[in-house]
Amino acid sequence: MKRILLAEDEAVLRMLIVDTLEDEDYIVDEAADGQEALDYLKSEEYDLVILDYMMPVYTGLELIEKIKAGESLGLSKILMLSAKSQAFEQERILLAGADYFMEKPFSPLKLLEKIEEIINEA
Amino acid sequence: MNLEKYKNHLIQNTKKILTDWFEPKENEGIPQRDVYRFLHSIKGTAGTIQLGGLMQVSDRLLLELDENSKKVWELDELRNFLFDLMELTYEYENFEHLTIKTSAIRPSNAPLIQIIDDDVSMLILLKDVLEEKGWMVITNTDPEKAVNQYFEMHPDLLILDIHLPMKDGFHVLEDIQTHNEKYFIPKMIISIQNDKQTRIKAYQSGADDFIGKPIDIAEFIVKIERHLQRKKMFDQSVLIDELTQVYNRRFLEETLPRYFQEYKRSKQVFSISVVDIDYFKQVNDTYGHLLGDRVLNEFAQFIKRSIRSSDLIFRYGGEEFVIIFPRTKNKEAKRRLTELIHAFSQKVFTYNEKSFTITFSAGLFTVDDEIVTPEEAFKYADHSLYEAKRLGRARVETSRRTLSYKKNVLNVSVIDDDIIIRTMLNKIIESIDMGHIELNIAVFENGPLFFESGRANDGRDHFLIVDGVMPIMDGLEVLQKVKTGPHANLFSVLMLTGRKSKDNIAQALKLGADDYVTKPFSMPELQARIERLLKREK
Repeated sequence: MKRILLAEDEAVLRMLIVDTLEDEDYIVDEAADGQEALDYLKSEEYDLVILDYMMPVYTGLELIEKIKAGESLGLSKILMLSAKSQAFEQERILLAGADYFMEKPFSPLKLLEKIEEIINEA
Repeated sequence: MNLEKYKNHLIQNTKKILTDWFEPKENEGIPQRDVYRFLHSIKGTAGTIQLGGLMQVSDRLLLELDENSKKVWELDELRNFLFDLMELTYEYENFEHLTIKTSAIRPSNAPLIQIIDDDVSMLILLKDVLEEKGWMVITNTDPEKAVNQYFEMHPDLLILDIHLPMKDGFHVLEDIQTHNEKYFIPKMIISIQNDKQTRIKAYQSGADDFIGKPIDIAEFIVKIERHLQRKKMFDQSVLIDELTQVYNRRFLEETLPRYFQEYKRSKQVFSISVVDIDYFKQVNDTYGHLLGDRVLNEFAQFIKRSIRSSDLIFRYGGEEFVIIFPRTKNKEAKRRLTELIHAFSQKVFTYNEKSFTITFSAGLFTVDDEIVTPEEAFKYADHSLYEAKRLGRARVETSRRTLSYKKNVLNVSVIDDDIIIRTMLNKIIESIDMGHIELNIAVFENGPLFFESGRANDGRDHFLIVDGVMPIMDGLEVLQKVKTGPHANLFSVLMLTGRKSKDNIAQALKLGADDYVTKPFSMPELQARIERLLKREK
């Protein structure tokens, strides 16, 4: 079974994503801020890491830097969630090292499709 | 995918934060950073779980905030700032219980817009925005019912979300198209999917317009205005009397009820007049029908030219016409009609070198209460017309029921432990215009605070709205206290109670409550109720 880390500070959204993924038999670890996410990353390897852009302690971008700097156990695919929808913002996120981008608000079904696509690619 | 659970969570979380902020007395204000985060997190979540309305409101509020500002919000200021959000939260939470009023006749003369969207928060929001523009909005989340409603009500504009449960919006469009030949009703699609393919498909299915979500409200409004203008032009071409070129009776029957509906909402007094050309039969008999027709036409055109652009004239039938004077009190309408009668009587008609003048008479009725129906109002005006004829013609007679108020100050107090309800009630009461009575409003979160304020004993007439169930001192206790106190006869009490608390209601009435409203209540309904009670006061 595939393992996913979800870092999202907004509780309701986190709950929704976790429920959606668990229904599809993914194993999901959930982090409510950047620090929790980093703790998970240091102790587990993931098939996919989903990061929210705006989070307390470390932002999504800061976490990517830490992953790229080798602070995580493994190198996983990274999907970034963000309300910043302008093209240059998206580009910035992808340049920083995220592999995929999803604009908020998103449809939960679209997110699931995207995740399946990413996981199958790998 | 069922999103109910998440919606409830978000609503509950939102309510909890609002309550935490506004509840404690010793609160020293809320830092802007917290307000920003609160709104930002609603915005981020709401769109995904189909609470588009919440997303839209929080997005708009966010634009007014600088994330890095060091400002600390005072509670009152913040409450005002967040009012729309609080209201939407309340309405959303209780939406299923609130009756969406639909009526078989088209109420008031405002354009009627139908919105079909399964995102309830979005519906509520759009309804609010459009009704602020003075348009009537009917809403439906169920596409089957919506299609029926469409054919019953003939809206002036249809706004349709293409992502609907059970049936997609394209099918709804098709259903409507197959029956739509007779009516010209512009159709606008709203969609979170805003790609070229979807847009093309929408236009192919019969849409006249397309707008992506999140909706840019300013653009949305302008588009709607354009569609309504086109619709109006179309309607006028078939609702105009061929001979006199003024509105026909059919249009009157559609229009008149709308003014009454609008009155209930805005309390804008308006007047209706039934007018009739004097001795018209003699004109016909003496000069023939051709001239009779010319007289009718010139009369109608004369009135149309002479009234204000907001006034409307209809040909009711024969030589009888109806004039509606919006926002016009009796005295003013009477003055205008008298002037019209005088001016028209100066007009000289010539036929075969013979000159003659013509007069008309008018009956007037002014709508300034909610009890009267369109049919009754017409009857009163018509009756006055015959009174005018009887009293010698070329004059106005009026039948008016007057209401007079004693100039006074009335205390209005609200006691409710729910911050959202308290805030909304305060706002509603502030908006009530009582004419000569000045309202002195105060809100309290519990009974003891109310009694400590001393308001209960200041000897003024007092209208008290009290929640039945409260933690510190319950509503019945408050009620009992005022009704057995020294100023008992000065108090009118409206009790807010839960739906299922029948015993509670019975007890409240026994203790002397004047009225009760069960929660959850629709705000417009409660407003009407409060106004009625307040007016009964004096």
